[in-house]
Formats: sequence, C-alpha cells, structure tokens
Amino acid sequence: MQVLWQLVRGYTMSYASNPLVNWLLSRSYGQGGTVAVPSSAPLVSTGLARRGKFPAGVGDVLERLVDQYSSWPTPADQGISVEWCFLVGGPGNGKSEALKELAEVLMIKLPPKVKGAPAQRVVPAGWPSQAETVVPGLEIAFINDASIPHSFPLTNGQRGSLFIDVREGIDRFLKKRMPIVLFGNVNRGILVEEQDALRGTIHTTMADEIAEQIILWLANPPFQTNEAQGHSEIQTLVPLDPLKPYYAQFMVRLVNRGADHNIVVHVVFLDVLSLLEPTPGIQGKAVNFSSNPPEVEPYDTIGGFSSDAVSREKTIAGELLSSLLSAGDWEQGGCIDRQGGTLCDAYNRCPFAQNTKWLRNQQLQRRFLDTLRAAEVASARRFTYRDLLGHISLSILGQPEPEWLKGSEPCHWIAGKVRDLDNVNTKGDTIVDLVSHRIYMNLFPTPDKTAWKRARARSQRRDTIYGAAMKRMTLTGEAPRIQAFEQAFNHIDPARDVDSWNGIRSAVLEIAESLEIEFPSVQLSRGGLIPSDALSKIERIVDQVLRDEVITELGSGSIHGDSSAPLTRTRFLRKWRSTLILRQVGLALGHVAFETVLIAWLAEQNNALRGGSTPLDLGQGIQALILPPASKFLLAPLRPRTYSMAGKLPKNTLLVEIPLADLRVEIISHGDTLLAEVIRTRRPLDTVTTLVVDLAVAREALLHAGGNTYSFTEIGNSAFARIERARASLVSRRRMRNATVYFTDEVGNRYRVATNPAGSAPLRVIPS
Amino acid sequence: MSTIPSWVEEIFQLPRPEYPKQAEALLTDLIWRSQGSILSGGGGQPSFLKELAKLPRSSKKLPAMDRLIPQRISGGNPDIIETFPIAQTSPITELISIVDYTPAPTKALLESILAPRSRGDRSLTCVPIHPQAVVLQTLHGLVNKPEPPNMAEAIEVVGRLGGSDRKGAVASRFLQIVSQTTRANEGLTGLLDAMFAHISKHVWGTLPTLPCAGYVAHPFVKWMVLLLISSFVLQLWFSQMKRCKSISRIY
Repeated sequence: MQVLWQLVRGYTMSYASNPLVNWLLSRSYGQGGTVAVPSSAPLVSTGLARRGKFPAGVGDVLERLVDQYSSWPTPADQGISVEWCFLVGGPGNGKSEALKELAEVLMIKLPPKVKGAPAQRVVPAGWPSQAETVVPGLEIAFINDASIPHSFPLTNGQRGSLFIDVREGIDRFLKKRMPIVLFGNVNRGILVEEQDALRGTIHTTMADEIAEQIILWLANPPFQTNEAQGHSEIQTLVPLDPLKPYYAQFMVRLVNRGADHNIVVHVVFLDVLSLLEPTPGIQGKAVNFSSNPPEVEPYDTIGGFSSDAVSREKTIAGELLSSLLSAGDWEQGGCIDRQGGTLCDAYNRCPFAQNTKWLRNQQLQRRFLDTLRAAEVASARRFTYRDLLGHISLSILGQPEPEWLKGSEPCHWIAGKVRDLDNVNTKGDTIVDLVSHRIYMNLFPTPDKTAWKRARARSQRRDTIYGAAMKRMTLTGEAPRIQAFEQAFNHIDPARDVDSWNGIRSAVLEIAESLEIEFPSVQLSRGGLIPSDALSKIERIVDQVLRDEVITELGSGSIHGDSSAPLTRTRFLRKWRSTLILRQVGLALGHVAFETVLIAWLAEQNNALRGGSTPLDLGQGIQALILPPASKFLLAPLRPRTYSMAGKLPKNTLLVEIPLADLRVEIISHGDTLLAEVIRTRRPLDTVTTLVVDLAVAREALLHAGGNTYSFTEIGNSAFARIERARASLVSRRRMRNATVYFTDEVGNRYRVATNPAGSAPLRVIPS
Repeated sequence: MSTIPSWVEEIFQLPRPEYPKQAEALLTDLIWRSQGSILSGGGGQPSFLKELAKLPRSSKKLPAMDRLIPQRISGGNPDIIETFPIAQTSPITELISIVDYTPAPTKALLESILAPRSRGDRSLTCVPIHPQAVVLQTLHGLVNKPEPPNMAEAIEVVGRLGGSDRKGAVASRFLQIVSQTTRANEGLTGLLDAMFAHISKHVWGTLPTLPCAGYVAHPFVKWMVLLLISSFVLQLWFSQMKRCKSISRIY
C-alpha cells in the first residue's frame, strides 16, 4: 500500500526544469560554455545577456575607439592618429567578448560559429590582403587570438604571427595605402614567444623594425614616459604604473617616416586587478579620455573582508553573481512548472534552489564573495571571468554528476532524488547525494581522502548514510577546476581551521556532537547562529536519517565478531556531520581558515596601494623575516640555510656581517600582486631582492611580527625557498665584495679575516 | 616494437634516467663534463676526468682515481678518494698571514660548503659554489660507479630545448657569471676566489701522489702531474668562457 502511495504521489508531483541550471552547467569547469569565439551567434545562446562588466579599462577604451572611428573624417586629415588596441591577458578574461562587442557596435559581421571548427585567428580570414571596412577610408582587422598561428607559411621562418600582423599593418601606413586599425587579443606567453623569435633577427624594412619595437614594448611595457629618440618611433604616452597597471598607451610616429598618420596604441592588461575588488574610478570609469594623455584611476581595494560599511556586492564579481540570482530565474520563473504553473515540488529539497536562496541573502552573499577573495589570496592568482563563472556554477550546482554530462538534465536528476527520498530503502543514499551539492560542500574539496579512507570500517548494510558519505569523501578523480584554486579552497576550508571563531567553533562542534539529543539543524535554526537562508530542509532530513543510523549502529553490536566496527562507523558519521556543519557555519559567517592572515594581507595591500608610509603588521613581519631587528647581524652565507646567527656561533663556519643601516624593506602592490622589496638606501640605490607575498609567506611573516623567530613546518611548496632566496640575495657575490669576513674555529671562537697591512700575504687573521 | 628512433628520441637525447640523490651532483658533473667547461677537453686537450681515471692505483682491485668525494661517512667505501683531508693541508701562507697561533680559515671554509646529508648516503658532498671546488668531488665518486649517466649532457640537452644556442651553453653561462676576477682582499668574494684557487691547485697536485695511487716511479704520472696542474689552474679561467668579453656586463 505504501509503495503504491509513493508511486501515485511521485506521479502527481510537479517538477520543473530550470533553463538557468543548464546554462550554469555549461559554464562549469571543463564544459566550454565560457569559451568565446569571434562569431555572430545570437546573444541568448552565447549567454551574452548574462555577461558582467568588462575588467577595468576595457569598456572605456572600446567607447573611445568607437568615438574615434565614428568621427573619422573623409578625406582623412593628414597627421590625424589612428587608434589601435591590444588587450593583454590570459584565457578567460573577456578579450574575445570585448572583440565581439566592438565588432557589433561597428556593425561588422563576424563569421558564424561552426561547431567543432577551430576559432579563426584574424577576422577577416583574408587578412592581410583583406580587411573589414569601419567607415569609408578606414579599415580594421581583428586579431581574435594571437596564440593561433597564421595558417600561411611564415616568411623567414623564425618570426611570430603577431609580428607579421603588426608589420603588415605598419606597412600599409608607410606605403600610404588605406589606413588600418588593429584590434588584438594577446596572451602574455605569446608576447614572450614573439620576443624570443625576434632575438638576433636582422630587419630589412622599416616596417619590420617598427613592428619589432611594438612587440618589444608590449612584452616589456616601460614604467616611465619617454620621447621618441633617434631611431625609435615609439613614444610612451601613458607608462605602466604599479598602482594602475591595467592601462598604458604609446604612439608610433610614422608621419616623420613619410606616412600620413601616426598610430596611438591603447594597451589594456586584463589580468592584473581582482574582479572581487572595486573597479577603479567613479562608476567604473577607469580611464578618462577627456584629458590628453588620458587619466588613469588608481586601483583601490576594500582592505579586508566585508563589513557593514563596505562589501564586494558592487564589484564586477558581485554584480555578475547577483545577475544570476534573481527570483525571476528561480522560484518566480525558472523553478515554476510550466504546465501546472506551480513551484517545483523539489524546491525545498533542491540544493540548487537552496544554494541560490543562500547566495541571495545579503549577509551570506558578502561572506561568499569574501571567501572567493580569500581563495584568490591563498592561491596567489586572480579569478578570470571563466574562473568566476566556473565557481559560481560550482557553488550553485556542485561538481557535475556523470549523468548530467551524458545528457540528463540536472533538474531531472534532482527530481529523481527527491522521489527516492520517500523510499525508506534509498533515503540514506539519496540524502547524502543531495547534501553533497550544498554550497558549503561544493566549494571545499575533501581535505584528506586518505584520512577518510583510514577511518573506514566494514559495513554490513546497504543504502546507508555511512556508505554514501564514505563514497563521496573518498572519491578520487581529476578535480575539474584549476588545481591552484582547488588547493586554495582546501587551505581555507573552515573544517580545517583551528581558530576559535570567538568561541563559535566549539559551540558548533558541541551542536554536532549532540545529534541524538537534538538535531544540529534545529539547534542552528533556533539559536540564530546563522541566517535562516543558510538552512534548508535538506539538513533536517540529513539529521533525521543520520540519528536513526547512529542509534542503529550503536545498538547493533557486531554480527561478525568485529566489535569495533559499529563504533568506527559512528565515529566516521559524527566526523562527517561535523565537517558539514563547520563548513556551513564557517561559510555563512565568513570564518575561513587563516582568516587573520588573509585579512592582514588585504589590509597590507590596501595600505601599500594608498601609499601608507608605515607598514602594518604584515609588512613589519616581512621586514623581520628578511632582516633581523638589529643594527648589524651575522649570516653564514655558505650554509644551506641563510639565517641570522645569534648567541653561540656554530663551529667551523664562515660568517659575514650585514650592516642594516643601508637596507630597508618596502611593501608595494603591483596591481593585485603584493611584493616585498629589499631596497639599498645608499647610493647607488637598487633593489636587492623582491619577494612575492602569498599566503604561506604572509603566515610566516605574521609569526615573525609577533617577535617569534621560529617557522611553520608546513610552510608551502616553494615559500621557504623564496624566503631563503630573498635572504641569500643579501650575500650575493657582488654585495659580498665589501663584506667583513669572520670564521669560527673548532670550539666556536670567532676570528676576522682582514687586509694585511704589512708583508707579502694580502690577508691576515685576527681574533675577534 | 619498432627500432627506428622517433623524432622524440632524436630531440630528447637524454641519457638514461638514473639520477643521483644529491642535488650537488648535477652542478659538479656539469662543470666536469659539459662541453662548455674546459675540463671536458676538446681542442686538442684531454678530458680531465678521463685523464684522472687513467692514473694508476697501487692495486688493480681499487676503483679508478676519478672517484672523488669530499668526506666519507660510516659505511662508505674506504677505497674512494677523500679530498677534504687533502684540501685541509693546502698551504695558504702566501695568501693569509697567520700569527700568534690563530687558525687558518681553510677548515671553516670546507665545512661551510658541506651539503645537507641525504638519507642513506655513504659520503658527504659539498656544494660547488665555486668552479674550483669541483676538484673536491666527481659524480663517479658520489654515486660510486664507474660510468654514471652523463648528467652534464642531460642538463645541456634540457638547456638546448629551452633555447640555448649550443651544447655547452648552460655551463658556459654559469661559468661566465662566477668567473670574475677579484683581489683577495675584496671581501668574501675575493677570499673565496683566492682560497679555492689555492685549494684546487693543492688537491689536484696531490691526487697522483697519494699512497693509494701508483705514483711512485711512474714516468707517465710525473708528466701527468705537471700537465694537469698547469692545465687545471691556468686554463680553467682562460677557457672559452673566460675569454668572453661580456663577463663584466653580465655580472
């Protein structure tokens, strides 16, 4: 009778298939939905309608280009400059989307997208003999992807495809043919390759020479303006500035070489600022072209995690996220069953819908965006658009299930699971599948699969939470997202944190432990510890099924003589529930692991960007890390570790004295990258060494800021080597030419090697 | 299975992948055997390592003289040549005036360049921070094998694949950087340059005269000693790299 009722109930329930879920799935890592190609595909199918704002500078430059081209005079005045643009950055930063937008505004039809066919390097395909007309008397060629080589055989073999594009463009000007605009999307690696390809080549034409100068400028943009000198046709108008490193400009002077026009080149670097920090300028206007040269707004950051006063909601990432959470796409639209016009019956138990509800809550959304920013700092890299969409998709949907990738819609999968919840025999298995797609489980990978495997015990029963949870926590496979972010989220996983969270952490663990007395989900809900939008019916069902299973395990004893197995399984289940609840509360309240260090990093960066003359805690820690707090100190330069010698000196060791008076550590922010530079303050001034400050270095530095001179044992893959290298640069061969040398004997007595004032030997040893 | 070498094998002409545990062995072998180092011979000059191996030993059962290690530790092969004891006796009076029973810095220098010990090692290695320090060890000695894989060749092939213009360029570049002429009183840099020159000269000259070597009354060895001392000391710094005029600009 019960089975029959379930069948009837299942049949009469209404489920919806949300198109946004499918769209998000296509944007998940590895699914290719975010790969843009220059095509004229309709907006809806490409998802253009959901595109966020461009990175700083891109929109301003596009506007500027359109203004210039639309006012292009016919016939063109001699001397008027033609404006080119290069967008520089890695894949997934929005370069191709920018190209598509410009083409659309200029009403240039891009070729249709052919499924399976490779993207076209240049539009039009007939370039360099053909180009698209912008306005009468002005043409354009779009270099969509400079990493795709030209299909025609390269002359002289060694030169790069981009070099040829630029040369052909310059050649048109020098031969007084129709002026051309080049709009190029360039990967940084390609610039390095192009630069290498030019090494040692001898140019025979002026176009070749100028093209080489342009490539070299793009590969190494200068930090200072310059006048065109001697043979150089390049004049830097807007140099790169560490505080605003997303835009630079130069002019190619061709009129003096017989051409009718000069070229002004806008260069936008798309990957130097975080999309999780405010876009420079008022209302996103980062480059102001009303003045000449244009004014570039400096990068400024929030300087920490969100508070009542500041948040990341209005950042590019925040707005992109919000655009995917509107009720119209979910409970008021996408989740409405089209036939019955009712809300999907799975809604309350659907992790996708509940995750969206989580993210729509202002406080929870702020914490989520903070967590993404923390992952950027922890991974020492920034989210591209593709990464952002991948993580938003991951947060809402979770890792794609194998069925989804074979064509089954995720919403159908959810509907099937919700139906299975009514079946007592599959309830345990099913609820684990559902809770494993909750936002707090989606973001953080399993910390230590082997540890979970070790905690395994034999299970006699099928369809248990234990079996399903074990399978989920020990599932090994290729992580779909970029490994740096996978590791970063593992690092900042709230379940791995050891901080007290102002007493919240122990309270949360107590809640998890008291499962049999009162459901943790109920306790969280009643205590108001986290916003109600962070709770769902899914957790309630988990607690219900889990409590039943724990009680069964503890009451079962052992059938096969292994009396510890039920206890082991119970321990595993409690650990699993604790992990869930720690992640849930941690994400909801913004308590990620290394929170203090991450906030210190963000504050230090903000201080550096605002020109703070005194370093904050982190900066002082880095100073102490590289240069010990003393007027001078001894280093053992030839030992494997270059650390300051204090107290009793090691025996039989060569030592040098480092005077600190002429050294200081400066913290600077190059875009979003935080650097510590050791500067020699005496003339000749120079930078002795540079150290990138990432999470591992920041942790070590904060330890030293507190006066502790020990180190963490698990400092990270290369962090220790980098710190060591920074210290070792103090004892470089060049610097050591002026060093005072000491050594110790077999009992640790110290001697100095000094210049010998008399006798044939140039040196002498004197006790010190 | 096809015996025709594929293009991969043609490009990646790497010796068999048997690598020593000690990282220091890589740089050591690079300086001993790379074409970019004068020690590898060429241009009418013999390979220093091969000539060293040709030196007779007092017993045919002993391994060749090209097996040099800085210092043996418990369980190591006693027949391998230890260089630190020789190096410590290097006369440095023409470099450093020592009075009033003050010690010479030789032992401190040698102990300072000792590398971290690898697990299970039978000998201590040193970090060849100076080209002249390679006289203190050879890859053959560190791995205690007659014909270890040619690490220098492997490094140079990798360098070639990375864009170097010729085989030997990696060693050449390294030697250019460290081959600066300094005066002995120019701080630590000057001291290292001067002391390693003295030490290498002394070790090189002493090797054929050791009791375990067959030096006694062997006319070939007398000739070898003269040749090697002059070649090693004089020519290391006047190699192709040394003559490069861009040294001062690089450094």
